[in-house]
Amino acid sequence: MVPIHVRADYLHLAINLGILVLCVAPLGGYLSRVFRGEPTILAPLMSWFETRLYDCAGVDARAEMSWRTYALSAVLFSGLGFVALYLLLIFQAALPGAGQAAQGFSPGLAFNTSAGFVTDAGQPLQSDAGALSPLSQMAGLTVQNFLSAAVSLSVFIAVTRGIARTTPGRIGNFWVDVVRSLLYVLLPLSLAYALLLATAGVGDAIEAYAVKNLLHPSATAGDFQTIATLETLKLTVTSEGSFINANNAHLTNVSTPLAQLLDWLSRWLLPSALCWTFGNMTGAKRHTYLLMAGAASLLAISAAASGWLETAPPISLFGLMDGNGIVLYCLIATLIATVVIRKGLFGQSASFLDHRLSLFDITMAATALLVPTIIVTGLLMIRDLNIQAGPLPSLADPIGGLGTLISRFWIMIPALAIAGSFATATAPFSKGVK
Amino acid sequence: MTSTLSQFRAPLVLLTASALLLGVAYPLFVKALIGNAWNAQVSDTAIRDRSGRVLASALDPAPTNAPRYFWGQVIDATAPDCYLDRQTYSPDCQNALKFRRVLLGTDSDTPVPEDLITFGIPGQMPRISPEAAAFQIHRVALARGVSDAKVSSLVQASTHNPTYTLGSGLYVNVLELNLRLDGKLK
Repeated sequence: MVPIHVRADYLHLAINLGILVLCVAPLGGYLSRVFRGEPTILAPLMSWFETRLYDCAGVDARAEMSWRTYALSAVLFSGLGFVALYLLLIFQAALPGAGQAAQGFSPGLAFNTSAGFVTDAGQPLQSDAGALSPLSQMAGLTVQNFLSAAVSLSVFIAVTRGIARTTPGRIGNFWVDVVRSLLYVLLPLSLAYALLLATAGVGDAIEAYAVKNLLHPSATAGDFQTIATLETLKLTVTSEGSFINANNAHLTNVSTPLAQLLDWLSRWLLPSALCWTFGNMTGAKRHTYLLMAGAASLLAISAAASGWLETAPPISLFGLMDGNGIVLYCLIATLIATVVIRKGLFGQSASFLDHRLSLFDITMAATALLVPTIIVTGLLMIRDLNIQAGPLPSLADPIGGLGTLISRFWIMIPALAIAGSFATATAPFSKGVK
Repeated sequence: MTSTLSQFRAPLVLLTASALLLGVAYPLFVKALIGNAWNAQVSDTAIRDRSGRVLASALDPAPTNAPRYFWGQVIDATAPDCYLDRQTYSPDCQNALKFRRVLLGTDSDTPVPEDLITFGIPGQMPRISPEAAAFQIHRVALARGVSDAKVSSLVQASTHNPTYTLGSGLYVNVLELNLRLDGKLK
């Protein structure tokens, strides 16, 4: 159902791609500086705040973590965020600032929504947006849009660090990575995006956001003002409008081409820049292009398949993942492919970037690649059966939420394990092999 | 015990700090910034007459199915989600589409501009293609007893060209057009 005025145009695509390509190297380089802890252009603004945050949180910014601590921290952080968002959604009507939201979410819907936002998956918000209280929008969904993106950025960087073996046995500090990605990457980019989008004609863009309460032609002038401001707020800072691939499915319908360009850039800028950062930090430039090619082909497949995205199981995984997750997935796929090609075709040792892969690494990589796909496929089949079954209580929401959570963490944690194994790399066959 | 507590200290502090910074300070900051610096565009969804009185919002849907008015995409306000899955509409919505075809006076073989027989996302409904507008000019002119040329000139006046027009073309704002037809908007 492509709206008529959003017809694909090759010239348009070429310009978008050109702008993306121009941005990749500078942003990729900037990301490497941020996550190496070097001062950046924003340091005068942010470093005071950054230091205070570390002090309050009791974080020693110089202490790096093993992969287990890193993964545990990531899960703990996402888990607490999940619980907070879930409770906020369930009890939104009873909390201050309830606004028009007369009731809380049902447990199933709250679960699915929280899962979608905590994992940064590209799932649209399923209920109509009028049911969200301003507090849920701002303190709940907006915050998780940022935090989930920060977590996926941090994990990718940690994996990169492990593979680059910057510190023996350590892959960085999760809390530092999260704070730095928020303050130095996500917040500035998001602000720039919001302002550019406003310049691109929020008046036009808002049309895509008209929700039920706008469908009353009798609304008075006063109503328009409030609604327009609220819509702008929603557009620029919350669910649909957040700058990374966070539930902004509606934004693809934004009606001015400049807003479309911004939306498209906002989803692919960071993932593409991460490919560059990987090459930068590991010193293996050609892997940048491999990763980009991988991510681009996945993007092309999912674009071509968008019509049957829901019904085609292997692809549906990518429908549940964010852009950074796709790059992480590609990284693991590249690793496996390298090993298979070296070993299978040339009979060389199973190594990747001068590190001999242990059975543990390969098991973890295979787990990350296959298990989520299989489980998510199964879950989607159960969900479809459940929908067809009709009168049974719908399990679609909890199942969708579960699939989203699995597709995120079952890739993230094995990837961190591989990074840990690279970073340790004391013996060609580390533990995990009997 | 203290070690367990200290494990939770970092995530809890960071979550609270982000809730304040990203959930409160940042949205209010952006809202204030855009609301003041970009005010014209933000409030631009209102359609005003010369005296500045607001007549309607460009977000309003077009009046459905009255022959005197131009129609936009099909809507069914009672069924916000028309899709059973990605390919198929719900039965109610399929019926609404059939009804629209009947109203357009065409059988299922006649080519009809796609947007007239498509379900619209609420916010997009006021926009139709110039072809879809041209398709309706004769009917509206008949219903109102005016010449096709007169209606056609009003269509011209309501045709817009979005900024940065690569890839997407002209559109007609149905709501604005209908206001012009009624003489409410000059």
